[in-house]
Amino acid sequence: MAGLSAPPAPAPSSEFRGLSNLRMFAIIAELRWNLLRNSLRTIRGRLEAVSRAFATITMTMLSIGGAIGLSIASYLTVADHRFSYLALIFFGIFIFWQMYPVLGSAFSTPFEFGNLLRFPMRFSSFYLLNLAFGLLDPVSLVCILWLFGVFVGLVLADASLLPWAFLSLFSFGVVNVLLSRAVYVWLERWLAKRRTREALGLIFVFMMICFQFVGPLASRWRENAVPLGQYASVFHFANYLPPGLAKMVLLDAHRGDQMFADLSLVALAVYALGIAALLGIRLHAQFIGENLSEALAPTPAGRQEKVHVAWDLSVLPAPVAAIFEKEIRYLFRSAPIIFTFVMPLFLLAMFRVVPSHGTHGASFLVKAPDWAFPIGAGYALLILANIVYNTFGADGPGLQFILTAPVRLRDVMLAKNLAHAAVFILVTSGVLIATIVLYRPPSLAVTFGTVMALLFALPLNLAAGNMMSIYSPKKYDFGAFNRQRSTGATAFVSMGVEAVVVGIAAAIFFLTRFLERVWLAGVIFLPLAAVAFVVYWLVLNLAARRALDRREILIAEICRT
Amino acid sequence: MDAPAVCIENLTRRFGPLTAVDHIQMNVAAGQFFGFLGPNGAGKSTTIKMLTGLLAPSEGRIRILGIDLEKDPVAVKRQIGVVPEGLALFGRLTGSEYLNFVGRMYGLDRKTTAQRATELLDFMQLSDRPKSLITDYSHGMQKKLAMAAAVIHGPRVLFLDEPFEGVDAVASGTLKAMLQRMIGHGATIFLTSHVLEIVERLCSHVAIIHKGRLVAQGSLDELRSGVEARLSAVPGSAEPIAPHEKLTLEQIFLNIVGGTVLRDQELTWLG
Repeated sequence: MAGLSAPPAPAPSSEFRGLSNLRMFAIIAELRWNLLRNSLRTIRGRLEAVSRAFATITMTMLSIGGAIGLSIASYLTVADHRFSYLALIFFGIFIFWQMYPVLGSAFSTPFEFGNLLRFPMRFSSFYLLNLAFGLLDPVSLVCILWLFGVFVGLVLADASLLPWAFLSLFSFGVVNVLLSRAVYVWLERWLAKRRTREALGLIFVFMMICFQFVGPLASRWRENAVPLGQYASVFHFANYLPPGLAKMVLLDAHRGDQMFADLSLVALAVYALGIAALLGIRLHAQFIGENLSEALAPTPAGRQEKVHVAWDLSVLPAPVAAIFEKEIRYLFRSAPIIFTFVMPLFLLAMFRVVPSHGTHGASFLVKAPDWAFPIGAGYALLILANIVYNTFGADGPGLQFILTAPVRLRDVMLAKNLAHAAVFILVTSGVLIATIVLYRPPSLAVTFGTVMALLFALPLNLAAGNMMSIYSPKKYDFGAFNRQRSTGATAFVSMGVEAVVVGIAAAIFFLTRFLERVWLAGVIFLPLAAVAFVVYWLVLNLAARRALDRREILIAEICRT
Repeated sequence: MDAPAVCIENLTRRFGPLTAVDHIQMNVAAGQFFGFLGPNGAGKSTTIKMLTGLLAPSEGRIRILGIDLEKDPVAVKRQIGVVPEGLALFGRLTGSEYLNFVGRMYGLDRKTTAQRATELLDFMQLSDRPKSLITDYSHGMQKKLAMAAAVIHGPRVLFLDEPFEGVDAVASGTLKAMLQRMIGHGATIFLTSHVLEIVERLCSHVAIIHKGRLVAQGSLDELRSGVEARLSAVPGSAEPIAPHEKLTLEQIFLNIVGGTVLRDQELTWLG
């Protein structure tokens, strides 16, 4: 008999109790290394690696900047004997450390630790691997760097605090690492659901946007600002939470109350042990077989599907109506896309809250509110490029259906363009309403000119978008919040088209404004819009033919899993 | 005489230096339940993609129900239903929305589409997840939905790429019953599958592709007789046939594609 290997390797001993923790870490490290190395085989993988390297460098620089800032802030709090501010710093780090990984899970597929359990692994290895994963998480690394910055600031301000600062910050760090893992593991089942991840992503991005308003709002109302110290007093009740305890260790040590400092340290240790136990309970449940990541039970049987009837769009041929409905459903079912659509409103609001008193502080739009509508509408067109220039991107495997259905690709593209145009009209209407509410109603001449300019710009963008969707397609997940870049070629062409279109529109508007004949802009745009429509129509037919020729490339990119 | 449901002449597909499908000639008569078999990488999916218009042939001609696919793809697509390898689903629609979309794409009116969609969802036991998006369905549910979408317009020829892969026994029974009923109504079914027992039970005719070339074609009995004749002609054949024992499709398949060699190998370290 032919053997595949000789001599036979010894079978694992029945006494085998699992690999040592160190060996297990080495194997996992090797696995990650192989995954990374293999990802560099393709050009796309290499580009992503370069992009990640840049992102890491940028994040590291920002984190170091944050650490320096926190170092200075800590130094000042101790030097000025204002320890209540230290609590603010600790709470800031604590909230970031605990919340970011949960909200950030919307941007990535969670690592399934349960997959490791099919290997002969000891519970201690499983537990430690989980902790190591938490410790090496980018958020943890950033927060540890920040705590180091705080440590340096504290010691520079008062060298006698060195041992206390070390013990306090170390304990605080341990509590945070344990808690972030415990929170994540307890929420894992919940986070496994697509809808939860999408909702969290939306909350996260919304919070980020709201954060942008802090600066303008703070400067707008800075005269009425309440001293921060008054807010700090609110945190007294939180002295028994880990950030408060970390502060109390330092405050008591600074005062020379060693016993109270010790008590606070013990309390931090109790927190750490309690959280470690909670983490252990959950991980042990997973270790003995409970799958924390499995989806929740499906809807109980018995609820019958409500009869769904397609939208009544009898003005359109049935296939065009079907694609139109599908596109609209897709767009409005995607939290990231909806978020994109409201961005122009955020932009207008942002410019509005910039301080309007004085001469140098006021935004351009506050000084010239008549231009809020054209600028907002132009921005809406810009963000629409994301979907217009990659019109098949979100279809996924459904693209195969489109290609096997008895429908001309010209009709498919027309329906998609109609859907995108409808959405654009909706967003632009929102911009107009926001302009009226936040600034003032634009003059009739500006409104007319803007609408005509859009009738010129939109068909050109749709035409260019159709061609780029075929020549440079990219798979796009409407459910994912992580930044999904279009291809370099698409980005280049879309920016070029926008630059030309916006440049022409801006030149016409400035010229007519200079001549004090703004109404003339609409009249000039009218023939340009007619030409743009003809271009669109011709390109639509051409694009449909090219799409059929390039169907294999489209399928290979869009339908890949 | 009726035109064959599927007529393939000299069909070839090259990917650079690789010839995935090499000058295939094949006819599938109307009303046949036709199994298209082959080992992994033999060219089955490439062939089915070309037959359904997802891939352009490098050479050759395809006629479905007498209509040339290249000359009038829309007319052909109107007559066929397809469950391709990737299932062709739109993940962010519900099952009901998807079937309504598909029905409209095939030109059915709204009322008929809604009625058929409801019937199909009930038949496939998919009507108890009204709010769920397809992306949240299990693989088996997605497969059933893809099958429902492929038949909503009542196709005359149905192309199925691995329809039973990842489907449980209950769902598999439902699908088989539906396919048998379609054959009863005169439809033609062209399927690829690795589950030879199912092909043997369902299909009246079979073709086997190996390394891009068609190596066998005919009814199961014809294939069986051919292999039996070959085996009896070879003295000391590896698998002698008992006098009254019929060769299974698996034995026929292995004999044709030469899959018996590895059986003699052994992993000596396995317990």
